[in-house]
Amino acid sequence: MFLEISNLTKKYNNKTVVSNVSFGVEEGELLTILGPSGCGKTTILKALGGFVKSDDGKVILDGIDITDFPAEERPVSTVFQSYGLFPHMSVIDNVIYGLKFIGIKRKEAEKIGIEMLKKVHLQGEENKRPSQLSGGQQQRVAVARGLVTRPKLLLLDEPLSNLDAKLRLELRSEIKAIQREFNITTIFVTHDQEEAFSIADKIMLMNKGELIQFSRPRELYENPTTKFSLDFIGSVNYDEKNSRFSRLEDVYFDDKGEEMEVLDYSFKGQIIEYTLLTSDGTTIRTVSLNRKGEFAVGEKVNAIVNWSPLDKLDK
Amino acid sequence: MKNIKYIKKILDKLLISIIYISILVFILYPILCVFYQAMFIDGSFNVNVLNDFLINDIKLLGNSLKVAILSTIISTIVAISVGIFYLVSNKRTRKIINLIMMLTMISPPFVTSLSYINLFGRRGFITHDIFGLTLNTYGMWGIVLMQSLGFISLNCLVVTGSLSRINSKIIYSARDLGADTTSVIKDIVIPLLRPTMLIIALLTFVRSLADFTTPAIIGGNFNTMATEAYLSMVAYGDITRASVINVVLFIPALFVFIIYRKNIQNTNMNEANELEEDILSKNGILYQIVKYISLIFIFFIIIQYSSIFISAFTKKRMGISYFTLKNFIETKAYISKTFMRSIVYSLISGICGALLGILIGYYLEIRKLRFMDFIDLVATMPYVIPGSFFGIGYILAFKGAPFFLTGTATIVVLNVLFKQLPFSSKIGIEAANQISYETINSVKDLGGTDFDVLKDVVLPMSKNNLFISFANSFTATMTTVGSIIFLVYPGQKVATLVMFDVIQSGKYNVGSVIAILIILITMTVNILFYKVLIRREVNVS
Ligand SMILES: Nc1ncnc2c1ncn2[C@@H]1O[C@H](COP(=O)(O)OP(=O)(O)O)[C@@H](O)[C@H]1O
Ligand SMILES: [Mg+2]
Repeated sequence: MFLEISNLTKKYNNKTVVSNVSFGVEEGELLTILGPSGCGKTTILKALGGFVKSDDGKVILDGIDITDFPAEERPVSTVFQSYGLFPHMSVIDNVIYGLKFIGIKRKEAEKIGIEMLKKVHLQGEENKRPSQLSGGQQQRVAVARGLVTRPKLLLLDEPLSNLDAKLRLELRSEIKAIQREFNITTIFVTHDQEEAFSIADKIMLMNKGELIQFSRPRELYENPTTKFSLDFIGSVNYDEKNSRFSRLEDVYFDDKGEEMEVLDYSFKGQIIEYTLLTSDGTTIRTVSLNRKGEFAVGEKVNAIVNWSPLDKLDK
Repeated sequence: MKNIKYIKKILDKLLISIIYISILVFILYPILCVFYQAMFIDGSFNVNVLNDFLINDIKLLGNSLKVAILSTIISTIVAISVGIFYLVSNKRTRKIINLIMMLTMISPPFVTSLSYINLFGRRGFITHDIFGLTLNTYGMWGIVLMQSLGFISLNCLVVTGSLSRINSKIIYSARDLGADTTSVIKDIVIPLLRPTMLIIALLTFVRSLADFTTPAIIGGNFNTMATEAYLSMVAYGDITRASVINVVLFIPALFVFIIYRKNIQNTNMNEANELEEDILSKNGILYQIVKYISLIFIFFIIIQYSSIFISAFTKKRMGISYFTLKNFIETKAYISKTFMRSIVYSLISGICGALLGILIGYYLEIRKLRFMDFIDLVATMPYVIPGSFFGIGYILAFKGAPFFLTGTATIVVLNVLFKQLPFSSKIGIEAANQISYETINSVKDLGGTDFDVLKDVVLPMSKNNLFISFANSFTATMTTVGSIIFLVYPGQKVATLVMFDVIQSGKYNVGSVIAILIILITMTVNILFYKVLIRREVNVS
């Protein structure tokens, strides 16, 4: 493994906020840490960046144990949620700041910086101050600044959460493209599952400081190993009586199916979401594309449900 | 119903008039009076006295500038150093620094000079008792050192305030890119502190120019313009000469005032946060430098307060100090009624100042009334004009009809109230800015008048600010001396003035006792209000 974290633990005033977390990332891979707010995502990044001292655990990066390295000596770059740009420096000075600590002369550094700015579509903006840029542009400066020193590991802490929905999509694919181009090992923190699914090679799901599941996105959705994974990702129907569950897409209308009554429906544009009531009194939700005729509330319909057993899940 | 609305409208107009009139009459008018006194004789323009002063006493101007420049440099550098040390330190060290800043903020301004005499004076603990010397340590360097020591805490408070507005992620980013502590301080922290540095340097410069107490106590033969103005008033009763000197002192103050107003608008952009701990590692040459500067400063402060404490509880008999409570008994004779008077004045100034401040904030920021910008400008002026200038202005402005306030308690209370108004109005403006337009519009939407907005939204929502404002003004009034020294009649002295008197007549032990009493009172009031604030916040959340 290129990056290997073992038994990482962090406590604040005796409250454990990251508990015995171990995982690894291959070189050039993008790992997403996904989890609800307060679950310890930022704390893990801070431990990797060297901004908090962990109480226990080891971080090995490219064969070197960096656990006790201070932030300034780690080959790691962080892009913070609020970007942390230097407000008193121009864009180009922001981007090349890190180069002076690896002994690159100013002239040379400026050349590298301008190249880098081109890559993030910011040519021509080098002499502006960060405050003169839009949110999306600031974000790009932060990424450029982080990458210019060619770190071995790039950390992104909810980098898109300050942007509006449309820009978020745009920058998401830009970040992915840059990550591929540089083949840089990246950890991307988010609490947005759609974002995680669309960008990640692997997803690490966390809750309350603990690692819940570590897998490829598809596997996380299709084979949740815990109740939390099941609940947190996507939507789910429970049949507590028979101790089983189904995803919404596991329910489909079919004349051969069981008879159910339409309790409620809500129109969502491309799709329509139905709430159905089975004969034994279980409510089930499902979605169908807005294509055929709709069912009305109170109408009787036939549907097939593919159930999975709950008891194979932890907790 | 209609009647009530009508009354509320009148009340609103009445409040507006009170603000406009009071600020023009009690701030602008006295300032103009000093100028008039300095430049007009018998109603015609005449700058003979001014010319006279500039020709004959130019040396005083030189002395003042020398002291002011040195004090500014020292106290700015030390304050920035202590601020940076604070940034790098852990919680416990920060608490100690906070405590020290708080302690000096609630002390009367000349405790530094008093302790200097206690330690280095002709009969000082260190010079005389330890080294057996009888030195003449009175002079310029004593003034510079003691002034600096007095200004550092205030400046340091401004610096830590600015530091808490720096987003910690900026510092993290720099470290992330390879910057060690020295580079972060040099490349990030100091450049970001530049506007703050300018402000504290300018304010210190003006305060140093205006300070007459330190040179009066430990200056010896070294006179400054401020002491000369003070002496002109109290020794010769020459109000024209005092006015002239104060007008000269006013020019740099005005200059500073303009820069201050401009700069204050540029800073304060980010919200203040509690500074994160462990944001920088404790190493590197710059860290070592600021650490040692800070430790020396802390050491000085500890010595200073210890010396006052010791001097309050000891007396000397045949060169040997012994523990006694006699100083306290002796002090009684000087302070009968004085402390009560100080407290009452401070209470009035605290309460009225806080209310007036909120009203200014409301009418300026929420109602955006015409001329309110100008009113706010005038209301901020006492922040930089010399205290003695403001005091002389009051004498000149309110001696005749229709006021006849000379020698009354009213003139003293009005003076301290309006002298502290800049703090209160700043807090009031902050309070008003916290209130959203939605909230205000909701009141109107539901049929409320402007007066209801003030009564039901602005005042209740500003309670915390009111408390802070009150505590501020109370403390400032309890410890002030500059502006009221000419206004108070002998029979009606307040505690700081008595302290100043006894120190000047050499009764240092009594001075120390009074210093301790003043500190205890302001501390009690501050702690009480802090407790009230905390309790309120707990209840809310
Ligand atoms: N400096 C700190 N002191 C005390 N508690 C903290 C500190 N920083 C974070 N925490 C706590 O640690 C937990 C995890 O925080 P964080 O890692 O920021 O979560 P996330 O990024 O997943 O939202 C939270 O409960 C938070 O309150
Ligand atoms: Mg976070």
